Amino acid sequence: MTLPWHLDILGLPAHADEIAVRRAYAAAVRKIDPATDPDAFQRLRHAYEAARAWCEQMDTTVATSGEAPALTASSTTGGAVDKPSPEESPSLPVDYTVTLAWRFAADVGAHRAEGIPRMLDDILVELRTQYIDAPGQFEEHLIDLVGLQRIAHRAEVFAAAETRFHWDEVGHLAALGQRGQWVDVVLSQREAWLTLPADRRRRWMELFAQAEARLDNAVLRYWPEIAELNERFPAWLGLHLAGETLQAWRAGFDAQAAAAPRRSYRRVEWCAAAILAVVSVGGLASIAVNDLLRSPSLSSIPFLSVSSPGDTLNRCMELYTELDKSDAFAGKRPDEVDALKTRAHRCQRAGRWHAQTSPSQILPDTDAMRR
Amino acid sequence: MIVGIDLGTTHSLVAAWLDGAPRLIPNALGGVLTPSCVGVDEDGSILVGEAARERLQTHPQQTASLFKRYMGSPRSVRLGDRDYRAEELSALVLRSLKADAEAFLGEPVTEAIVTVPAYFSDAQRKATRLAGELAGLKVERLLNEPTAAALAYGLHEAGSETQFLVFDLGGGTFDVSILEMFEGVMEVRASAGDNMLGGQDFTTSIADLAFANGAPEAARDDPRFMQRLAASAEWVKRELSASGSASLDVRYEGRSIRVDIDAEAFEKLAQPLLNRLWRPIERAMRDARIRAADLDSVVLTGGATRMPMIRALATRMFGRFPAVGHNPDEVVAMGAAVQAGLKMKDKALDEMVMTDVCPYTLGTEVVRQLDNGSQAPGFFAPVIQRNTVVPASRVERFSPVTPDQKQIRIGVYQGESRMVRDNIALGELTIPLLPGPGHGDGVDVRFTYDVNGLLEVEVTVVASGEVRRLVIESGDAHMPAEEIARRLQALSVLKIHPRDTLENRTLLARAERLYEQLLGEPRERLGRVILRFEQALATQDQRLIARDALAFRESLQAIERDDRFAPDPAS
Repeated sequence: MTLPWHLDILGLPAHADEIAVRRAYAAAVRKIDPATDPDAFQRLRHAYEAARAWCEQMDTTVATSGEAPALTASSTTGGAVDKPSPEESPSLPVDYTVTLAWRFAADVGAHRAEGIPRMLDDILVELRTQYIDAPGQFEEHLIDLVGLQRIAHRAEVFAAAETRFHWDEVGHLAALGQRGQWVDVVLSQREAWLTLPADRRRRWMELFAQAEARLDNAVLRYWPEIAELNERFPAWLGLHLAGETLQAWRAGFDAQAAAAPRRSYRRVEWCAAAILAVVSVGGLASIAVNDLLRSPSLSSIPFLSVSSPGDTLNRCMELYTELDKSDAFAGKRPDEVDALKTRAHRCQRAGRWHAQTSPSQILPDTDAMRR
Repeated sequence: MIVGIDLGTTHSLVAAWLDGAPRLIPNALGGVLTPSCVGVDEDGSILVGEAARERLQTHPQQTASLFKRYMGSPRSVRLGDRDYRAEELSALVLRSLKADAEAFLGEPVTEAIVTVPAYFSDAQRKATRLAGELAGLKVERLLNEPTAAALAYGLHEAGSETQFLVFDLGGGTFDVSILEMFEGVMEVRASAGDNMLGGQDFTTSIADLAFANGAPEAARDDPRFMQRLAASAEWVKRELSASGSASLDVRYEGRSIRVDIDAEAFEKLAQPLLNRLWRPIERAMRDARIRAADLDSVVLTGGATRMPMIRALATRMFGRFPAVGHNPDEVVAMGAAVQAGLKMKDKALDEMVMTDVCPYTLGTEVVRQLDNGSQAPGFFAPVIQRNTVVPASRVERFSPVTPDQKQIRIGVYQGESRMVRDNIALGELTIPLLPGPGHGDGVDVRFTYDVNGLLEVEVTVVASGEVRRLVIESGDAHMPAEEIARRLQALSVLKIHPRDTLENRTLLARAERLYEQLLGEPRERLGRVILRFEQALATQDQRLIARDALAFRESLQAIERDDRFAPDPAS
């Protein structure tokens, strides 16, 4: 068996732990002057970072496998970006920011949308009387609330949070992990949405509001248009339309369309898109649920009841790994390649990947983007 | 010998690695803090340091301070009959520090490690390096200030395994760095900062009280009044740190403006500034993937961290008391000396290694394929993510947008925005593309960021293997080589006030400043004392001058004891 390259460069055996990795790096880095031999330094640095990531992954695997089922109120596993450090966390009042986030959600529900920026400002002032982790924790809970559609006026909340939490910074979103990717997808889809004619956008917005209020026949017949929008801007649309509304809209349209069978072909296609969008929202639950469940008062809140939301994520992740190899398409028939690209593109649209972090085999291919 | 220099907003220091330890080098006046002030004397000679600082109030048109804030910008200051760029003023400070080091070490000093705020941009770093060149110093390395502080701090922690945060609030800049130390390796995990936030802004917030309490807006155009006000506000700030209450007291056109202020009111006044401290810390903590509980200690550095409200805020933020025991004014220079020791491969530092990061995201402009098939230009594609360990080199491949494209333009940007228009353009390069096979392969763009935080861009056409390099020299602050040579020549002919008489010159400047502040009988008495000292200086009898200088200094001290405008010796 050959060793992973990073362990090879560091001269370590396959079972090396984090301490051994650090020691090997510390010994090797002394022999290099980064100023005069930057290439050697970079090689070592890559190996070291890969080895540490590898060790961290091993740790996480061990930690989670011993701790199933994870989704219980007593779970102490950290969120996506946190290091698992259950011994240290009790001193930090994590629940405080969760409570604050849910209080905010309740306030938003009870008030008009215009007050949201000021409410968020007040919360920021309050957060800044706390410890340094508090604003970041609140921000993560807020993203979860919006992504999971557990808060009203999502578009207004998103816009207010966007400026206050620096969502325009690429580095900030990168550090936010999957939550950052989701925010980035929303922002990208919004940019695309804004390229549509203003009068049509206005009409659709009115339609969304009508649908949220009441799904009557006058609204139901627009489902094909909405389904198409939902396929193009699922995350952005999620700020204006609840997943339940979309499902009900589709179901209502189906019932209507039963009287007009020749439309059925198009309908099947749109159904698939709608489900994908809902699943993508549900997928967020798998990363957010632990944090939200920490507060006992939250454990009773039902999450979107979409079957196994983590599956899409897992499938997309597998596909990513597969496509990220330089020989991903070697020895494949054209139709197999096409099928892979279509699947990849679906993952991309569902917000599983951000365009910039897409596997190398997909990004430059504009064919797949148009499909 | 390589020296370490802390080129600060309000004051600068020089230190050297001597006999296995960092050591601060005294200036001509015997102190280690040299104010970053430059002035032109009546006879046209240049005064640097304390003497220039004393003249800020008496000769505001002939004196410059706080110029670090304009490093790398085209802005210049007129002193006497000549315009000076921030690089040149900094060069004069560096030259003075170089002379101090040479006098102390007894050998020529031609190489230096110069510290810069971690969040200094490419242009600001290049300007700092240029300042060194103009001062006749080869800048061996630009070292980030919080990293320097960490080096000085880490020296005592060597061998232990620890994670700590450096909170560096200086005169003009704020930096945060998170470091990890293990096996003698000190690694910066993340840095963030605000280049326009420092102790000076707290002073300004106090000074602004004068305008809210009777001083007319027109007074802002009176440089003498503004300098008096700044000095008074500075005194109030220090007094508030020491005793919890003070009053701002200035005269404008015979009118007295007096504002009483206590610690609580000051904190309220400074709230907008305190709020700006959160963001860089939050950012650094998130980038380092760390929580407050994971930190073993918080190290405060920079003179402004002496303010009790800053200490209280840091304590609350991290849920622990910050580390004390280091002089916040001196620790950066000490760290620069440690780096000098590392550079000289000193035996005592054999076990220590340090790596730093680049705090900015660097990337290029791309066209994005929109969902509806159309294309939108102006998107920022990062090549080197912020907080990547340096030296770093990354390659990304970019393809032409259309199949018949004849050239490809690579724009280089620094920043965090998704759109390049909101980032800082560093330069651009246009590469011709040949039609035919391999056209669509496009180009490989390599960004290389060196240990000094300076960027190089190399573009390779994939099909032909043709390589183009981009030296980042754009920006309106850039100086071409001939211009540098010309400025170097101009600086070298400037008459610098002789070092051996600087002490007496400083005493005289201090006396003149006091003279302006005093009224009535004390003023007349001081006038007589000044006249006597000037007569002694005129005799050129060194023994007599030395004796009179002693008496003169004592009478100044006596006056200052009764006067609240006494400058703190540590400023």
